[in-house]
Amino acid sequence: MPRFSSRTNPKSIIIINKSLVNLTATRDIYGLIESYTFGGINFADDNALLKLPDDVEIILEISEDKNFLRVDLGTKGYQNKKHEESLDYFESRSKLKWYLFIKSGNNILARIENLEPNFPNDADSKGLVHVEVADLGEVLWRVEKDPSRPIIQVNKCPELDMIGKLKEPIFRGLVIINALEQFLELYSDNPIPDNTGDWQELWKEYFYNNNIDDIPNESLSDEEKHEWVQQTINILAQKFKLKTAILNQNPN
Amino acid sequence: MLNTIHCFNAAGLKRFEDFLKDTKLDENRGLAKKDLPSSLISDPRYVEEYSYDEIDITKEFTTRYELGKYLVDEWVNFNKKDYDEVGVWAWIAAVYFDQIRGKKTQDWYHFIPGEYDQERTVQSVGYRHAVRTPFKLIENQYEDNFVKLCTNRNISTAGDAWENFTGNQKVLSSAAIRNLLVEMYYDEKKETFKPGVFTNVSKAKHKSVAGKAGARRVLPIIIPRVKKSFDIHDMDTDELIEACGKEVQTSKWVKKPKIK
Repeated sequence: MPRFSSRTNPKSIIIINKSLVNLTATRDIYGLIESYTFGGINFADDNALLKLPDDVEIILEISEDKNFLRVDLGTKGYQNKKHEESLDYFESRSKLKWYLFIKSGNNILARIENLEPNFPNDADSKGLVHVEVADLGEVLWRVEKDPSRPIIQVNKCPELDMIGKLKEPIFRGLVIINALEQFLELYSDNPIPDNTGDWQELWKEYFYNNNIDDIPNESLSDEEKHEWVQQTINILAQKFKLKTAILNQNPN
Repeated sequence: MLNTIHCFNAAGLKRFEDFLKDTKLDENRGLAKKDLPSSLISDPRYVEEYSYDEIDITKEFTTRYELGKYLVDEWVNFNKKDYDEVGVWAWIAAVYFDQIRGKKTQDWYHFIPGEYDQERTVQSVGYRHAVRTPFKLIENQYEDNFVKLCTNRNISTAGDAWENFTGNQKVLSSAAIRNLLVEMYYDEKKETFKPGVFTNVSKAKHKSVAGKAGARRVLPIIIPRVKKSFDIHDMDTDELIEACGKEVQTSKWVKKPKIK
């Protein structure tokens, strides 16, 4: 993928590869993001980043709907590492956005939007589908169709334990295919990733590895997009065999 | 008439909540608004003394800004922890209820802070409280013109600036953004936001100037775009206007053309 595009990146800002940023986070027992750890940026493995002067500043902005936190992470020469910094400041902590940039004065020289921390305690944190708990009132689950990163939100009520229930075949069967359909609808409208590591890249890789046709690289009508979504969802349903999993669990 | 600041106890909050629910139900059926029982703010079954500081419970205000200013001046022993005391904010809202109440009674969280019943609010609505929000903006010493931009409407209305700015930490945490909003949208003579600031851009009429560079474009679209190239945190207003590009620079909201 080209690193610079005159259309989307006219100032030739360096797009930081996610693998160079050591950012991890932990969740509490309800699945809410509890704290984050910043272990530094690996400048050595990227020629463009390596050439930046030592005094450029590193800033991390964490936001959630209307809440916002700005963190000074020091300079290239002296990175201000953070260890398990609490995120209590945020009210729901179910859907945080992470934006890291490197700047000189007011000018951004390098950036990574939609930076996703790694969750060392989550087995599936790099999966195609992110699930997070949220305040949903009487609604059990929904898809937050955020073009920057769609997420399945499940009700945070601890008695319901929706995260646990999603591991059960019946709940997976009831939720997953419908949720994936909504993901694919969003993908069909926004198939091009803005940055390295964006959610669309994971889907492209998945389609490629599984011999599934990606959405054609041309402008499609709504009807054509709908057709692609339906074809793809049928392939995924065949692949996941969610009905079979339920029947196998309850043979009678 | 001076009265020490009180707060509702659990029974008082429930009573106030029930009243708000009942009057809303009546109004939705086309019936007249119910009157808040005048004894509610003094009935010992529902209220208790909270502070020795006194407020004039008969004082009248033109705007919520005025109300907030008055309370900040009078509540001299205010402590930051008081922000979390739902009962005291609900009691003050009940004291000035007849002034704050709109033509139709607003939802309960305009009078009782939203955290009172989080199950009923999918998102945080604490900022909608008619008394606590202006108090908080003034007590936390936000720029006076910004506070007026958000809260200096008729006392019975909140308005779009309140709704869009006062609960938005991206605005509250950035002096650069607040200064930009004041520079572009604040009417110094009327001491509130200019008409048309919150007009939506017409998708059907691309040549229409309505909504161009208005608040509904600047906050959700233009500022995030600027932030891809600039750290706006320390920018002054002229720098930020320039960074925002032609739509803002040439808009009617900018006093002088800023194109260099």
